[in-house]
Amino acid sequence: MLLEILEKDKVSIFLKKEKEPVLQQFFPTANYSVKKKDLLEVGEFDTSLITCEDMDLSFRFFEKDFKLYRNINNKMAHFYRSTYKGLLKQWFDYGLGHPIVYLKHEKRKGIFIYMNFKTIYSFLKLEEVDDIKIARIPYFKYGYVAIDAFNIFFIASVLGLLVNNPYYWLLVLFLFIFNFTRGFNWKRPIVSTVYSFYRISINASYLLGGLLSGLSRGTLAIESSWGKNPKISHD
Amino acid sequence: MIEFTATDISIVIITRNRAALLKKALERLIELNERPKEIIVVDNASTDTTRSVIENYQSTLPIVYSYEAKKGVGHARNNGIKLCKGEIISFMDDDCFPPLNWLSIICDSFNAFDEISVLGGPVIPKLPEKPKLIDRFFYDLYRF
Repeated sequence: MLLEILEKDKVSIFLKKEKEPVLQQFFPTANYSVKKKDLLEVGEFDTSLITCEDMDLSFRFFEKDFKLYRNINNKMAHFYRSTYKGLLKQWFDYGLGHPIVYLKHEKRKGIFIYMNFKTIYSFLKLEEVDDIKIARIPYFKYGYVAIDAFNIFFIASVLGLLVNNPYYWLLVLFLFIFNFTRGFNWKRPIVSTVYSFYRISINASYLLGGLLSGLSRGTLAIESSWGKNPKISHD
Repeated sequence: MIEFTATDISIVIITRNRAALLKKALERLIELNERPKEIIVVDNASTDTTRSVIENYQSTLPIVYSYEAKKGVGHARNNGIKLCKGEIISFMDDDCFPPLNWLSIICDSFNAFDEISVLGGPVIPKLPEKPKLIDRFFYDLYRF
């Protein structure tokens, strides 16, 4: 028994097991090691996908009950494309790709709205929230939608602008506060505002891609990928 | 149970028109503590100096060059998989910098837990020496 506990402890310290194929948790091919025999059993990359082919492969591994682990020591440094245009396109493509992957994986069908408590906790700056699990709240049952709280507010706020309803303006205000207080450096207001503009426009690009791709296929898959509250120093 | 070593690992890198970044990545692979079985570099229809960069490193690294004319990472990665001779396939991008003990981390993980099929890890953004604001934005966006 003691050995078993020690063994479990060893696992939890050494490797963090992804217990569930959480929507925004998969392994990108920037750092993806796989046993060749298992890969051949699951199948190669799907060449019909424009993007998100690594997400698709991860889902297939899960569906065949293969184990995906994350070793926190296995840290890969990565240079990202640092142009605004490139970033917009990249997130637009993610938006295009996600609904296609969702449709491909039958088990993931169904509408659900989920709240990313990590985001909310970090927004409220309550504490470090690494151990808080993402909770999903089942909602209507039609088509396939995965949408998180942040994007609900985002879409609702844009709709608010269109219908000019005073209640919606509260959502607009929330969006404004949400985006402009996260990571805001009061000593550098202009830089921080530009930074917030990046945040909103990139998210809008992702939503646009997701809506275009999803609505044409009778599905939606919109989720936030803002993992942590940015702690920008502007140095 | 098979004990994996670095020589069981085939690294697969897909690249397209990013010769300068690929060069940095290959430099980093030279610095690794151990040598993999092979490094398969799939050139996905590049039109820049990618091929000559790869050829420059073929004497120092166990590189296998492959050309994939069909554009798309799926096609290129499948091309790389077909060429792999190692028991473990490790994918990385041409703009990545693995830790120096990357191969031993992979082997140790697979050896410690036989049930593992796929091993991943954090992908940490690397800031340029003189980051611009957009670089900082990238850093925060991907830092999870």
